[in-house]
Amino acid sequence: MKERFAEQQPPSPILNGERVGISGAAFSKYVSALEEPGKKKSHLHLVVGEWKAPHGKVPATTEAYVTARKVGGETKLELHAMHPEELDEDTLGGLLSEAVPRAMDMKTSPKARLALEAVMVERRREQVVKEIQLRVVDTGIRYICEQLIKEAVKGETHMKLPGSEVHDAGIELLRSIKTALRDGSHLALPELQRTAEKFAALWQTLAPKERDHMRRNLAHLTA
Amino acid sequence: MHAVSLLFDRHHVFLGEIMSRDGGLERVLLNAEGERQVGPYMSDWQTRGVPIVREVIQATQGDTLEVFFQERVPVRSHEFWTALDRWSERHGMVLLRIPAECMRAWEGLLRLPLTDVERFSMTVALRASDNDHAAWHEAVAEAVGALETKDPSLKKKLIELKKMMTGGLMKKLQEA
Repeated sequence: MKERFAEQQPPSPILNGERVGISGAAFSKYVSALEEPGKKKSHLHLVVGEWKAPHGKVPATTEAYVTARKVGGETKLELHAMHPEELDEDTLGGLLSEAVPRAMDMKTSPKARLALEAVMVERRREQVVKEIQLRVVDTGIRYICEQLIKEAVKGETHMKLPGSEVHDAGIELLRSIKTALRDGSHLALPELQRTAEKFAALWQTLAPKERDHMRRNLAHLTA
Repeated sequence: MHAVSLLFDRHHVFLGEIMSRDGGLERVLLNAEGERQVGPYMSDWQTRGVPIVREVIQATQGDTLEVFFQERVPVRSHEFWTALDRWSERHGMVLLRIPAECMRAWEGLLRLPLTDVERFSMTVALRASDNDHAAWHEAVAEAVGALETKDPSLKKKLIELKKMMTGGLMKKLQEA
């Protein structure tokens, strides 16, 4: 995953973007969406920096903040978060939606809002993939989950639910993957973690034949 | 001051009503779709507050630094409505504050067989009607009456409402 972030050379780069799940390409698209035609192109550099306790008028309890400084023709934005990997969508999206347009002296627009949303959807997808890779041990089931993620992101999946003999935990896992991809609230990802853990526990108890049956049924559900 | 705001999603689907007083939350009534889309956030806000981004300028060695940070606004705070409005906008939703005198017409619009876009557009036009709320009340009440009595004139009355909507939206556009 890190390589995918590093290989791009976008006009508005982001350093340590993988810590918050944002790629340079996605961030650049957001910056471009904020630009007005005919106006000089903006060069923004976003850095996910080390944690520095806030001071001045920023409350000491603040867990994440963004600083903007103009250096030459470039604006340097620095994101400081106590736990960047754990930033929720409301915090990260909120900070970027205010700090980036202000740093560019631009007003946000529906186009920019959609571009920022795309950044968040990509981030959500990365988080879900990471969770699955971490918690689903069986390669067959993991493949099924990854296919579901791929299809759900494209918005094409029509999962056939209940009526099947498959174990409830498997259905629950697939459902929570879909929810976590769609729902950016603070509840969806922990719910995915819960169902993935429950599934992992159930998996341990299954005999090889039952595992095979589970794989086949889940594959059938997402086909 | 007591105010009612209507929340719509990006596809103009109505999600619920938010009652506020002097900017603070009084009551929320979400429908099933609103519960699905906003419900999880609402329960979080009740305990942690609504997120709002603030900006401060700090001077550092002859240089200025803009700092953006997020705070949580308690739901009873006078800033609740502003925070919710900004949150809604960021999530592609629309929060429409509706004058008390328009509520009856709005309740009628909810009952009529309209598409989400039509209902949303009519609400915007109704809000913009300023001194002409009475005409809207009358037209909506007539359409609701026709719906209740299964009067075939319902179709005609809905067309009338759509004409009023177009006129109202045009007026709003011209003002803008």
